[in-house]
Amino acid sequence: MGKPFSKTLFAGMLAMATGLFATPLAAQANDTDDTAGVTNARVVEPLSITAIADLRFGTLMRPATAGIIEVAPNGAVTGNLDISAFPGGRGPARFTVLGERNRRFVVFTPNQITISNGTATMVVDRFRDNRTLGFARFNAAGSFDLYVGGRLNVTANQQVGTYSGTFDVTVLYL
Amino acid sequence: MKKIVLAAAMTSAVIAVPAAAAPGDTANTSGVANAEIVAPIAIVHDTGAALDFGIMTAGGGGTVVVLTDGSGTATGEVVLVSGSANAADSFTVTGDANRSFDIVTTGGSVSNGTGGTMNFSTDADATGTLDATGETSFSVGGTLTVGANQAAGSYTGSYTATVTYN
Repeated sequence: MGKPFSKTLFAGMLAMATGLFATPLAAQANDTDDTAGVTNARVVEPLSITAIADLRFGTLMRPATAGIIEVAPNGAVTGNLDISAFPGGRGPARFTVLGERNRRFVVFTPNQITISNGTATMVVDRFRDNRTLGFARFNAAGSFDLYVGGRLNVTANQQVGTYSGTFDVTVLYL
Repeated sequence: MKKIVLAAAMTSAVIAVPAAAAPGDTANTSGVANAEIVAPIAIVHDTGAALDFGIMTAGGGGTVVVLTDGSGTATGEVVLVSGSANAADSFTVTGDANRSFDIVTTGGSVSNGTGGTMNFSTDADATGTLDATGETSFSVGGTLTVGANQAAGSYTGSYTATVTYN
């Protein structure tokens, strides 16, 4: 029932479309008129992000039992590992994000990564950044200092060594 | 049937738009996370070692000074008797290779077990450094204060040595 009707309708539409296109082409030179249109375009600064500082968990004594240490975007250090012997050298990663002034953007960080000393690994998770209300906003100069913190998970008797790893940070205009 | 399929396709397209954002709307980079795990520092008193102030006569009192190299001298009226041997104490420290640490040693008192006591202070390097294998040792000397007419006897006591990464 419906199929023949659809075909007919389609054919009709095709004919109409052809006719519409045909009309301007067939116009005479003195049949034309013109007026001013309005064209809008908005050129925005492309987003860029540059790493300035690493996410630093510092030096930790090998623990006998598993523990964590968390570095917040504001630099606050918490956790249940003894860091009294090495109180300094910790801090969040810092990035300079450039874009359109006053525009909002969101930040994506991984759920977790592993860092390695070449043979052993540790997990870094709970990446947090200094967005508020779920987004960040460029200042009047079009820049934003993005700070990213995270949580280091150290296992019992973690192998000694210097551990390092990378994590992707993506920023997206809202 | 067809309408439903079409509606679903349109919905997909709408959702897909943000994901297909034009180049320049996103930027990404890699950050680095790093940490260092070091072996805990440990200190062991070397078996058989002791801070030995030797054998002395008290006289009117004075001190016995033992240097970290083990040599001893007496001051005041205290006299180290012939054949007395002095010795510095020693400890072994293990931990993270090539890392330096602070040393703190306390003083204390020695007792003859019958009420006689003498106080002593200790002397050691303020810092040490673990070698490439993560081990080192250090010596402890001290100064014993001997009272006038100090009761004769064999005196013994203890003190505490603490090492801390710096």
